[in-house]
Amino acid sequence: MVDEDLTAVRDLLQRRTQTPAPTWADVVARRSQARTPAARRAWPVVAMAAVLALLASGAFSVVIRMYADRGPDGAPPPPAFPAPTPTASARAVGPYPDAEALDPTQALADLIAVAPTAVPLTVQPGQVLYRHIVGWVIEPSPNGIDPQVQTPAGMVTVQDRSMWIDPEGMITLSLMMGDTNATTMPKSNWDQDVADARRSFTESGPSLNNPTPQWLSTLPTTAAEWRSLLTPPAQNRSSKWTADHDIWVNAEDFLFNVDPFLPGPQRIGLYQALSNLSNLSAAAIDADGRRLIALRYREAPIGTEGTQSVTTRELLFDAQTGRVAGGGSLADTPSGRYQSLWTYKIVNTVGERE
Amino acid sequence: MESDHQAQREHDRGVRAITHVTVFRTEAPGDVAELFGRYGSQLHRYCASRVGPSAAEDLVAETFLLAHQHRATFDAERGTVQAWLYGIATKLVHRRRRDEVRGLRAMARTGVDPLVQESHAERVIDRADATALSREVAAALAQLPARQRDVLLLFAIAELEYAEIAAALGIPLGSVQSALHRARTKIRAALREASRG
Repeated sequence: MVDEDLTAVRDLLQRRTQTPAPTWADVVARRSQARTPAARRAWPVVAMAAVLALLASGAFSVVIRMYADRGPDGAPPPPAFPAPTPTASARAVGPYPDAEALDPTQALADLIAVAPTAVPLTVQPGQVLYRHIVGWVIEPSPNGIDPQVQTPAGMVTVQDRSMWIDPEGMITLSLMMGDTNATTMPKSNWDQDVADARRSFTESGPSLNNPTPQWLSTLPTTAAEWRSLLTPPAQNRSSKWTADHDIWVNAEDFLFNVDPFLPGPQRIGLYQALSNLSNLSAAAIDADGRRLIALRYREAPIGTEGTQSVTTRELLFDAQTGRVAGGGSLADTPSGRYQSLWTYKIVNTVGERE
Repeated sequence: MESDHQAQREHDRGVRAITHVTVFRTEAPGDVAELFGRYGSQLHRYCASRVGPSAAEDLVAETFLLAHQHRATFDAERGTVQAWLYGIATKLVHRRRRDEVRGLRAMARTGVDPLVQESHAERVIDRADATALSREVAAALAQLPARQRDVLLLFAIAELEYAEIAAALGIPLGSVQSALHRARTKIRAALREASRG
């Protein structure tokens, strides 16, 4: 049996994992007990009932303020939820709403029809690929790096990312998060990560993990071969997801990585493989006058259908060229919407953008 | 086109385009109560598997409260919120490493799990039912280096994918693959030992 070791480990620990998980009310109660260890009765019954009522209403930030006001032992209040700081200068154009629903099979057929016009970029020795990502996340909490803007859709965090990539192995050499250099952030292990990635590429050569522009032309051109290539072997697959899910996730990462270099025949074969997936939907988006095709894949982890939020994953394609233009996701909760647009350029050195 | 062997080797490394930087991600910490609703149950299962159900409640509570306190440090470029939460939980598990290892060693010796609340009668039954296989597996788990045990249990119990484990632990994808391979090799060796009787 392929996974007998994993089965043995799960069986060994099974009794431990059968206990029901605590509720959020349990967590809040435990927190209040931990801060007032000798004063379990210090929280009036009335106050706790009010807390639970507010939790049910979703007004969690109000709960925390109430908690802070009523700490009976005079201890400092827990960290408050800070109010988001709108930044007038931040550009927040997305996420873009759907302009119209599309049939996913037809949408992919249309992209396949224009795919031959997407001529791969050429790169000279020593040049790097510059990738610019502008993303928008609908969520209320600031992270201290990305600006936020209030929009009709909600508080949007604007994520501006610039990446410089060595096309030989698609190894990321540098990353800017807005004006913040991610390679020098505290606890960043950047240099070691790059060295590890280069060593791995040198040892193993080009692969789907570490492609090169030249190597891409050796890849399959039929849907069946792409499906096989993008499906991990059984021992590496998670039991949570179907093969279609794995293929979608791997295609997403792959296209994000290599789209500017992908030759036409390989692009067509890959898009044909995507069109054979289940759980697809599509929509047209008007991104400031540019027509984009959103292709979406939706699946709940196996066994959880209908019991928890599902994240729908999204790839955006340029309707005119068939190239990948961005990506994102949609959750069943309002704060889960994320969308980003990607642009690519060949530049001479890390740090260049033009 | 590559041979089947070459393609197979690539699949063994995980088919991920980004080796050390996770680029676009789909969530941000947001509201912690909503996060708990989404991930609390699975995190509890993972923590309970490592330190027992009683300690797991504290660990889960601490995980989400730390997540809220440190939400500004969440970096969507490096992984998902889910991976980030598992990383926090695993660090908290490390603080109880002695308890975790002691519990596994006790299971290896006696067949009884000291971290599960049971009646005396149930313990007697556990002792009698404990197989050589379960004892060997417990011993092998106890002997694993901490990182290999982290990776193995994030894979086997939390059912995270390689890239998620890498993001959770802040290690390269290649390190996840090699640690998992080594851990599974040792568990399989324990199973073979047990089958020899």
